[in-house]
Amino acid sequence: MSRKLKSFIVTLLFIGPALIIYTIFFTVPFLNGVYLSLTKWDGVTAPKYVFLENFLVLFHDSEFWLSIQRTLIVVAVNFSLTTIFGMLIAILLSSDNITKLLGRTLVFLPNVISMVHVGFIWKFLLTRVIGSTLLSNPREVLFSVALTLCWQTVGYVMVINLAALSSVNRELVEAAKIDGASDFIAFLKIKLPLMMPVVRVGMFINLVWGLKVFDVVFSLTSGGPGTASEVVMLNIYKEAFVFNNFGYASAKSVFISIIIIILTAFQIKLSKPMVID
Amino acid sequence: MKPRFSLLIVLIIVFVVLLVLVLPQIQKNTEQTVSKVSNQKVLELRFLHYSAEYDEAFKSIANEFMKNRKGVQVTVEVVTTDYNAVLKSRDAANQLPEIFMASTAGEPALKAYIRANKIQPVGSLKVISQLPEAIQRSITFSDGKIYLIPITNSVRGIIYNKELFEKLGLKKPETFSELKMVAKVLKDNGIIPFALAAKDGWTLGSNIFQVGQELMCDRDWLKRKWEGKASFSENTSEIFDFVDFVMQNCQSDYSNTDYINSLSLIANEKAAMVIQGNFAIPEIIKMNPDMKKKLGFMAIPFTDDREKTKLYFDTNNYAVVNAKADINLVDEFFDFLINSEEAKKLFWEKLYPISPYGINEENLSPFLKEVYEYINSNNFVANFLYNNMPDGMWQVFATAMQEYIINKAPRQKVVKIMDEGFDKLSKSYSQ
Repeated sequence: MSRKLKSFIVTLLFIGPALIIYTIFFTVPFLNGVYLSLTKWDGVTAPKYVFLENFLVLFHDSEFWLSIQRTLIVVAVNFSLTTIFGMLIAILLSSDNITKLLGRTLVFLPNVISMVHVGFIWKFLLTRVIGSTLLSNPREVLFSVALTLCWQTVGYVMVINLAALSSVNRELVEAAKIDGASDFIAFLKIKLPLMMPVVRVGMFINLVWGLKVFDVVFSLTSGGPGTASEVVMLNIYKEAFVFNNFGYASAKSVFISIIIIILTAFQIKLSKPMVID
Repeated sequence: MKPRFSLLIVLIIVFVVLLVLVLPQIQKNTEQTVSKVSNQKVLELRFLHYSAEYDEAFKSIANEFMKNRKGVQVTVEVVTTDYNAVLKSRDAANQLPEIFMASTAGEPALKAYIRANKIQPVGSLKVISQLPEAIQRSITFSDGKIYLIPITNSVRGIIYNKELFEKLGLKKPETFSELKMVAKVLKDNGIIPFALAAKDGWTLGSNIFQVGQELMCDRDWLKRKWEGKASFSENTSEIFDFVDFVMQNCQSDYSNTDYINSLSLIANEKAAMVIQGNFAIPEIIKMNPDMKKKLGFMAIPFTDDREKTKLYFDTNNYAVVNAKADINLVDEFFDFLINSEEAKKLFWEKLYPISPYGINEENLSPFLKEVYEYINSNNFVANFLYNNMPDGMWQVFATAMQEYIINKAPRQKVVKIMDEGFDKLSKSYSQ
């Protein structure tokens, strides 16, 4: 057996299982979605091929663009809060004593709860326990969605930041301190730049999560009151399951996927120096 | 790096092609195996519905039905949120249940299923022959066939505290002006006139707008609407006036009140009236059993025209049958559900549904007596308009009315949402 063939078989064995799962659950549905985006389909009768008609309609769909606007508000609020608090909490809980370990566990805990449950928990807390009107006020509802999302994701960002913090060479920090740098300056000038490649990964993951947010909104507000919290994924869902336009909904999904793919490519490009280092 | 990357790409392409070719075959084989096994051993009847309040009863009836029938498996499943979405997903996955509730019991909503031969006519079923002729006529589609099996009807109107009304010397209002007077007296006596659940959009769309529209608009309006020549702005200003009045006479935190909370205001006797369907009554009685004797039911007086104060008769529990289902077993099951002694005890005499198959007036509770007074005197209107709108309009009404009540959107914007929703939904039927 030649070395090349052996290497090929080994590669196949290693990536095969993951590749099969990825193909079944991601590639095939995605390609199917791309096909459906070029059709008119009510979900019951056979799809009718319409080429790019759905995409042309999409650019004039004001409700769709409004839902993107709402999503961007949620992303902006959630992204800012999670990035700031994810870093602050990571710094506060970075050493290894028992209280801090417990603190980390508590902060990370919401991340293991499903998004749907997170939505229901906060719906219950806000309406039945606190008695707040956040969810019924059209001007505040998006902020309550962003805050709920932040509560869930901040633990994940904290863990990434903790990993980044622990990877910083202590000697460099100590050398800076000997040179007279304060803790704050040492963090700002030494730790943060060294942490950035890893932190950036967390930030991008968080950004993409924000763009894809659905389940939390669905269980928390169902897009209401009215359409005040109808984010883009909910708009796509309604297009398919309320208005029965499965083809058009697929076109919207493909459009959002393209945006996410561009963002991911951008992130991979930015992360490259880290791989080289 | 480069050759390995190319190898990965080649591998991905090979897997995708293989899977696209192999998956449908695997699915086909699995379906055949499953159907073979089920043919040999179990005759399955899956029953999907959306009525949480009836679910326990349906499940108990299914268990009773299976007792003396070996090899028959009836599974009852309830989906209370986004029923239509779940149904569509099941259909897309080729897992349409043998019996399922029509989310809208009208021809437009079922057209796609009929066109795709996914549901079968049920005119030959025993229970259909038991239906009054008027109901049979109302569920006969343009192809002359019947596809719907009515299980229950419901009525929508105002559930009110009859005892409280009597105590304050109030009569059941029959006009909008009389209702205003009633609200004033209630307010003067420290009682909240209405409990309003604006947090749940359907309570506004289905119970207020849908009902009001049926009373204000005629069938010609719907014909013109389908032709793109009518708007929801026609004849609906009185409905919005009525909504404004309810908002001025309900609890202060109405935008934060959901369906259950609104019923608890009635059960605790803090509010005197709630605009709901009769299906809400068992829930109120569950919260406060004393309410059983106190509750009454009346039509909504949207205007001062007494002729327009009619009870709204709703067809909200109508089932359809999958084309692949064993029609004899379906026939047997529905006969059991409607006529058996077990079903009478578990369902009909326990949960006060309104039966399209006739009633036993001896055992009627006070509020059902009031309901049947309207029905017997022909003082009701059936949901013709809604049933002949595209499927999903309830959600459009719900969103639009929330925009009006909570987000304070102007009336023009609200009717625009409704018009656009109708156009969008109707487009999927013209495919």
